Amino acid sequence: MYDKVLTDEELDKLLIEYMPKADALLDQLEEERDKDVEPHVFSKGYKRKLKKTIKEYSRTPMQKRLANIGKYAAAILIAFILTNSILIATVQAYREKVFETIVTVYDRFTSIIIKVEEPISEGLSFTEPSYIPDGFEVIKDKQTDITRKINYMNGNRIIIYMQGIITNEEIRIDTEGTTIEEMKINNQIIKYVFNKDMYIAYWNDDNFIYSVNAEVSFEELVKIIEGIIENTK
Amino acid sequence: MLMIYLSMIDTEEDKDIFMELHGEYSGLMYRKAYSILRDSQLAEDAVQESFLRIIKNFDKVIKEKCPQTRNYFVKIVKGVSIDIYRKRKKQQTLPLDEREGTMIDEFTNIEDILVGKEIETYLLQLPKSYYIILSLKYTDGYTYKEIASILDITEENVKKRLMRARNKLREIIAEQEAEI
Repeated sequence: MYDKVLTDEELDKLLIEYMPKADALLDQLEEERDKDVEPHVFSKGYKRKLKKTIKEYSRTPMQKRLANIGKYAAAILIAFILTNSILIATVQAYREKVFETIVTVYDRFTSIIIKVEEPISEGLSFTEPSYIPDGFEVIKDKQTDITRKINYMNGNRIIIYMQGIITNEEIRIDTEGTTIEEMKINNQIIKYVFNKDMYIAYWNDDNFIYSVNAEVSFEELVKIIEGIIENTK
Repeated sequence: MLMIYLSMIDTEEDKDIFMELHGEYSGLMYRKAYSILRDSQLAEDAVQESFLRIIKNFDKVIKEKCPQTRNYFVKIVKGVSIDIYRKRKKQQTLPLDEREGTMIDEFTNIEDILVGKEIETYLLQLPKSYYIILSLKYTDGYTYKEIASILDITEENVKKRLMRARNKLREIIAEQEAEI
């Protein structure tokens, strides 16, 4: 039938015609071979092993990012107290009229202990950003007695806004390799870092700690913060 | 196990469809995987990996029970199973295409069925990985990019493997025809 080496065109023609037939034949052979095989029951050992990876695979890449950033943001939000940098070379105690912080900087993290004499939550109300850049939409808005968190998304870019009532807490923050900058917006001192294409900014007033994690330009970040501060007046 | 997959699908409708397809085809996929790997644990691993790849290409799945969907799922699990098989055999010194065996190796007493089906028989004598890739290209009509996604290899490797598969088929045809 084929007494010479097939050219590419001849081979293509042969494959187009006979590959589907070979697949059909293979199906027939497999059905015949497997016709008396009992249906498989997936093992308990397999299910147990999979449980360990369920959390890892249970989030989409975007959800993983949000979870990781949320943890970081929450740590900064709850931990950040008043003025001054938390990146200090020695142990210092801050005494303020409302609450006290003891900040210790280690090689890879910063430990912050917050002591509030009389935590106050009554009569306080949460706010939300009055400005968010075009294209971002709310995908999650959650409020508890002591925190409010809003997630916004625009394609692959995210903004996370968090506001929390200052309470007693001990927090450790991963500050390895980061440099905290400072700026002033409407007489409010804002601390911020820029890491992996994201700004993380935080500040506080007498009752709340605020943070904004945003994959936006610096100018947009400033506008977001301005809008939040304006809303808290 | 289902919890892993469901969370990677976006809409509720997609989740329902996926559950239905998973229920329909996971047993079949296990059998296909087991026929290559001959190990229950590895076969289950192959099924899991296959469903993860299916999810990554879920927009390409015909979202209903039909021969095309069945065919797609089977191709994926065979590809995954062959990958697992090859990794386990990589210490052997045999050429790659001889390590994994041919499609026809798995069957016995089939001479009667093959009568009059010479070309199909030649194709079934291909190494498994070559057979799979030719099937994806010539039966299913997938592009290089789509095949790369299904088999989790680069497009460059798809082209190389297709070239080797075609050359191997030429060899088989030449050998078989010379014997006649």
